[in-house]
Amino acid sequence: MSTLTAAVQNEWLKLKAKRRSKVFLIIVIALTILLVVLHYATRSSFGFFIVQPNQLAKTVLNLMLQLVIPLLAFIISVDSLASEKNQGTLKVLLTQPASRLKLYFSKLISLSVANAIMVLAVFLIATIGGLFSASNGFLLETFQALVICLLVLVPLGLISAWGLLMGQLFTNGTMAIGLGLLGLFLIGIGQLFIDRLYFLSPLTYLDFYNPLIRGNLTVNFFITLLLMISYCIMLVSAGLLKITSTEN
Amino acid sequence: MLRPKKNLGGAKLKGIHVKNLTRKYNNNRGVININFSVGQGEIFGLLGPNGAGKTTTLKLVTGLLSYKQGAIYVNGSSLGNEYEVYMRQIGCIIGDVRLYPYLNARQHLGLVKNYYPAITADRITEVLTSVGLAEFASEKVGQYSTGMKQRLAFAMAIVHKPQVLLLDEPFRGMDIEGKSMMRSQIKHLAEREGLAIIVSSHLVHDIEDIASTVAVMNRGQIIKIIPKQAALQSQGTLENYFLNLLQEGEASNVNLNSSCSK
Repeated sequence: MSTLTAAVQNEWLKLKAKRRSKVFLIIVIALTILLVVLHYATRSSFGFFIVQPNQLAKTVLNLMLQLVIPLLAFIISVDSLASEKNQGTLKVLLTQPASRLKLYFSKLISLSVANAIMVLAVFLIATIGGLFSASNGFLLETFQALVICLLVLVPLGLISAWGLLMGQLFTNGTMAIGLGLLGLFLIGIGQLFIDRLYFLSPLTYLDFYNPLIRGNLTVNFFITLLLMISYCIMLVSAGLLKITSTEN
Repeated sequence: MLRPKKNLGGAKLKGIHVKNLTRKYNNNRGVININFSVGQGEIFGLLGPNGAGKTTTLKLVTGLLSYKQGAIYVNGSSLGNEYEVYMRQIGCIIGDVRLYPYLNARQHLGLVKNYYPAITADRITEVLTSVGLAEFASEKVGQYSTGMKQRLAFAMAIVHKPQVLLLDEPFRGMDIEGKSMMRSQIKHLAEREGLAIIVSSHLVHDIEDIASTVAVMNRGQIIKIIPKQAALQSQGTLENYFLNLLQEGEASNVNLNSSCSK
């Protein structure tokens, strides 16, 4: 077994054992069920907009990806490294027979799996919920929702890389989460007032998959996706630089 | 992490070899030109007052700190060239033992097992039994006492049968029974299994009981390396030898921990 696999297994074991991870998954599941129930209780309107036929999974995914899932993904990511520093277990981690590079990627991979589980939980519950009002074209819409699930792992990976970096910079997890979110908020606000900051939009434009929902893929969609991947690489590089120079 | 890659002539040697190792902190403290070798089956006691550089030395050997000058070899491999090969041969306890409060003892050993597939479930049970934690193996570590955490850290250090054991203040917070158990295990690992072991402590009695060779550190330097028996013959007790050595050097500046004389 390679050391990277072993490191990922260890990170996954720690992530699973944390009470916070379980609570977050329960929050995601409960909110999704609530949205599905709300959908039927309000006769497909959610009170503020109409859900198109067969598009319950897409709509619920879209709602959950606006705030809840990115926020939880960010908190878990920050906690992954900040708690190691805070609890003093970084020594245990860094004396394992795996390079710093592998240790960093093991965290990023296990966090991405956690992100995928949250997204898939929403997808499965909303799809099952949508079965009760399914009509012609349900399978195509469900397939598109599944593609969104895969695509959205890119911006969620970006958030995890940002969280890992903040978790390394600050020992205090609360401070890291607060400042990390403040950073994203300021980028979002900055774009409203300064046009030249448009290139930063992929950092906050989490519903970049919207063209997919509307069925009209644009050049913008692909540019955004490419920019997201580029930012992801930059954040991962910064995180790697930081972890390889960490002394304990 | 900064580590020189050039070979300073320790590539084929067994055990631990530290050559001309220097690492200074911003406050100018640290370790200066450290040289020592620990052969297989040898227990090397690092003795010194608080702040002498014992923990820094062990952190450098375990890769937790970087260095620009000098070289460290474990069975011929170095951190700069073969990081994973080097680290696989090491078992260690460094400084305050901190463990994951939400995992139990068996899961902690599982963290090590994932890197060493040869470790069996029986081996984990055997090690947990040997450190007296078998009946608490399913309890979350957050509920453990300091001594129990120390025992578990020791179990994690030895479960993969390392070639080299680095123990920084390993008896901290342990009861008499725990200390006795760990001492006999350390001796057993050196004598029967041929491990090269470094034990650091500011308590003379901890070192006197188990070490075969003693290195006295002060102000970041090793001021003497001597076989324990020679030190005992010269001054009667290791404590006398240690105190005399420090007083000879810089009597006015040495801040001896009062617990040394207990």
